[in-house]
Amino acid sequence: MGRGRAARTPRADRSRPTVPDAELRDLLDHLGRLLAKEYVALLKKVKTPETMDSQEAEQ
Amino acid sequence: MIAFTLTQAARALGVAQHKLIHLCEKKVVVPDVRDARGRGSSRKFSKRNLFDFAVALEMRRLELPVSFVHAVLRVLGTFELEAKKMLRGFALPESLLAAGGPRLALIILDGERVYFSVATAGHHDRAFGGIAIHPAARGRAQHRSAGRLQQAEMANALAAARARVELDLSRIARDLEEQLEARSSS
Repeated sequence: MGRGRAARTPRADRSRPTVPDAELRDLLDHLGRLLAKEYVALLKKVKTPETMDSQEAEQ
Repeated sequence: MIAFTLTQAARALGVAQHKLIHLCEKKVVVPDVRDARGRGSSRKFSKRNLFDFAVALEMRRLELPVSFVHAVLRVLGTFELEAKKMLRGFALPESLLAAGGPRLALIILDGERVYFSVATAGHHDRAFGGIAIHPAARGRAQHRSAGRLQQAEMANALAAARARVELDLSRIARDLEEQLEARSSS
């Protein structure tokens, strides 16, 4: 019987992958894109000096 | 790009170096500037790396699994890339600091499902996600969707949840900025 954290962690937890699988990665990326769209739209509405500069630069 | 050594990063974040090394070894944070290559080499981190560390450390402090940290940092990575395409100069963590800008938060319900919310003063929060990070472990067929939730949908999800963890990512960005400013002026 080993010692330390690994020995105390339930087997089901140890078998869980820590890196997202392909299906999960697609969902996470989709979520990131949706968030970006929403966040940037709201940030542009705020029209802080920084965002104004960026918008002007884009134009 | 400003580069931080492991010592500088640990001091700025107020944690022991081994915690940052652990996150690097788990590939949660990959050094932007220079990764370690064998004995005697040292890692160097960007400010963006420090933000990832700050989010990861906060999540680990709440004993959230590394798999959740990986998932959240993946969303933030895509979020930054996409936002950059729409708004030149957008960068994390700086762009979370705009005065009066939206507040970005991470919400985890029942230790299973991950949501993000974007909020501005005087408006309802906009919620996204509901992704189950470990569906297979719980015998579910899929991770669920990752779309925008109607206000009532999110209200129902919150009402049905036994446990709710919320991390203010904008606040984490602000705290990091203040810590870095305090260190540079001292």
